[in-house]
Amino acid sequence: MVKRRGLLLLASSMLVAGLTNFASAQNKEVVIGVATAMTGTGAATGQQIAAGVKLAVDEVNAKGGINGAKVRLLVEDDRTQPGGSVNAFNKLASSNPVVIMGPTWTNFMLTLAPIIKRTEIPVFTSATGTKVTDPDVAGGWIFRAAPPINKMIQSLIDYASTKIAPKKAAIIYSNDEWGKSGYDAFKSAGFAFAAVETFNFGDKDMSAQILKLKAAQPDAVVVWNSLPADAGLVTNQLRQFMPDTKIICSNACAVDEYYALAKAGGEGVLTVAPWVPGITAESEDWAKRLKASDSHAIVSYTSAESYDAAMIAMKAIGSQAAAEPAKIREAISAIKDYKGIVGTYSFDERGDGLHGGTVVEWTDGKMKPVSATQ
Amino acid sequence: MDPIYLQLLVQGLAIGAIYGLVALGFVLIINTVNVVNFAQGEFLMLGGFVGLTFGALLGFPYWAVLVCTVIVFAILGTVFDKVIYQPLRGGDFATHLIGTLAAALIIRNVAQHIWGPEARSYYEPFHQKIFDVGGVLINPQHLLILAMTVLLVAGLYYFLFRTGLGRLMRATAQDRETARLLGVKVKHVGTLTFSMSLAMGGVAGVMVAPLFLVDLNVGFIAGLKAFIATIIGGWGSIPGALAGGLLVGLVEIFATHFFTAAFKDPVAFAVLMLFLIVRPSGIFSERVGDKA
Repeated sequence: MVKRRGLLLLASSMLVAGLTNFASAQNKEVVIGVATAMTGTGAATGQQIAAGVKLAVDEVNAKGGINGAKVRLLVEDDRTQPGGSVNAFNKLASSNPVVIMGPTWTNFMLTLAPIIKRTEIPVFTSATGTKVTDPDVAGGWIFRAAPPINKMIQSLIDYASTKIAPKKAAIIYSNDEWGKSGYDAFKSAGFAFAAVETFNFGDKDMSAQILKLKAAQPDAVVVWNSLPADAGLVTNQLRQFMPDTKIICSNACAVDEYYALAKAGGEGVLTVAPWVPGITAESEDWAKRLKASDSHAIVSYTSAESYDAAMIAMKAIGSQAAAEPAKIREAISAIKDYKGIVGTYSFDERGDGLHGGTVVEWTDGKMKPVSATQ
Repeated sequence: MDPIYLQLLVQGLAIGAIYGLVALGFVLIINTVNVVNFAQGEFLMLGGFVGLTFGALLGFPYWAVLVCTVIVFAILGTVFDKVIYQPLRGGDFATHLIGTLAAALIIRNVAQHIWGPEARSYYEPFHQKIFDVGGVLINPQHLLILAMTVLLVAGLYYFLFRTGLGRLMRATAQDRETARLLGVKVKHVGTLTFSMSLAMGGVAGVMVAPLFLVDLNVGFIAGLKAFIATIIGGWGSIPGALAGGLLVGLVEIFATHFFTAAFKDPVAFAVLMLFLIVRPSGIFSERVGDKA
C-alpha cells in the first residue's frame, strides 16, 4: 500500500513537472542562471557578476527577448563558500536554465566542474585559473569570458622583465592556489626571488613578512593575490617600509577599489588588466548604461566580462531553434571575432574566449596601458 | 640587537594592543553577565563603517566621530541586550554561543546591505604618516591605540572596583539571583554592560580602520584572536586582556618572522593550548571573588 502510494506520488509529481515544462515552453521563456557570491568575503566581486549579467538580460528583454522569448534571470548566492556554490548550482540546475553564469573563483569552478560535466549545462565563468578550461576538467561545458591567467601573467612578465628588469626581486603572495600559481609562473619565467613570503586569508598585519622582504633590498616586489582589499592592505604596509620600491601586482590591483584603498600607495603600481575602463567609446557608453541600470553597480573588468558572457550566451541561444544545451554549446564554441566590451572574443577548443591582457600602470589615479597584447 | 627585532617588537606590541582592545569588550561582558559575546569582533567591523560614515561622508572632525560612534554603539548595545541577551538569559553556555554567533552573522549581513560589499578606507587622523625614530619606524596610529587600550584598562578597573555601580555589576556576575534579591536591578546592569562593551568595540573599530581598512572581513579573525587573548590573560581579568593581547601579537609576529606566515595561527593556538595545560587560569589568575 505504502509502495503504491509512493509510486502514485512520484507519478503525479512527474506529471506536474512535465506540465510546468510544457507551460514554460508555451510562454516562451529562456532561463539564465547566475550562481555567485552575493554575500560573504567575495560579495564585492560576485555582485559585479550579477550586475553585468542583469544589464545584458534587461537590454535583450527590452528589445523583445530572444526570438520572441523573454529571458528570466535567476540569481543564487553561494555565500563565497565552495559548498555553497555546489548548492547554488544544483538549485539553479533544477529550474532548467539554458546557460549558467558561474562563480569567478578558480577553486570554486574546480569544485563545480564534475557537477557541470554531469548536468551538461553550458557554464560561463570569469575565473582565470588555467586549469578551469582543461578538457578533462571541464569536459567542454565551461566557457571562459576572461583571459586565462597564464596568458595574462605572461604579458606582465614580458613587460616587467624587459622594461623594469629588476636586478633583485622579492614576492609576497596569498597562501592559496591562486597565489602559488602566480609565484610559479614568475619563477619559471626566470625571476630569481631574493625573498619569498606568503600571507593567510584574513591576515591584516603583514609587517613581519614585509620586514623580511625589506631586508633583501629588492628593486621590485611582486604582490600576488585575488582580493583587491588584501592587495590594498599589502600595498599600504609595503609603502610604510619601502616607499619607493616598484610594485608589480596581480589583477587584484586592476580595479578602482584597489586604488581607492591604497591611496597614494597605488601610484606607479604595475598590473595586468583584462580590460581598461573607458579606453574605447563603446566601453564608456557601456559604463554609463551599467550605472543607469543600477547606481551601486561597479564598473570593472568583472562586470564587463559578465555582461559579454551573457550577451554571447544569448546570441548562441538565439542562433538555435530549440534551447538544447548540446546545440548551444556548439553554437558558443563556433563564435569567432565577437566584439564585446572587454575585447574581441574567439572561442578556442578549450573554451577560452579571450587570449591576453593589457599591462597597465596606475598613473594619476587611472590605469594607463603600457603595452597591449590582444 | 639587530634593528629588525626592535621593529618586530614594535609591530607585535601594536597588533597586540588591538587584540587587547577588542578583548576588553569580552572581559567586561564576562565580568558582569558572565557570557561570552562572539559578536564582539563584528563590532570592530561595524565601528569602522560607522566611523567612515561620520568622518568621510558627513565630514565630522575626528573627536566628534569618536563621540558619535560611542553614542551610536551605546544605543546599539541596549538593542543587543533586549534582542539577543535578555531573551536568552538563564540559558547555558551553548545557548549564548549560538545566540551571539547568530548576532554576528546578522550584523555582518546588515552591514553589507547598508554599505555594500566593497572595502573602503578611512585614514583619520594621521593619514598614514610614519615616524622614523632612530631607524625604527613608528606609526602614530599604533601609539594612539596603545594609549587608548591602557586608558580603558585603567578606567574599567577603577570603574568596576572603586565605584558603587561597578560593584553592583560585579555582584550581579557572581550571583545574579542573590544580587536581585538584595535589590540590584540586574536587568539594567545587563543593559549598561552591553552598551559599554559595544561602545568600546565601536571605538576600537574606528581606531583600527586606518590599519585594517574598513572591510566586512575585519571582525571574525580579530575577534578570535581577542578571545584567545582573553583566555591567556586570565578569564575575565582586565589587565589580563591587555597582557594576553600583547602576548598573542608578539607570538604571531615572531612566528611569522622565524617560520612562515602559514605557522602564525598554529603557533598562536599552540601557545593557547600550552596555557590551558600549564596555567589554565591565565597570566592574571584571580580568586573567583576578586574577578575583574
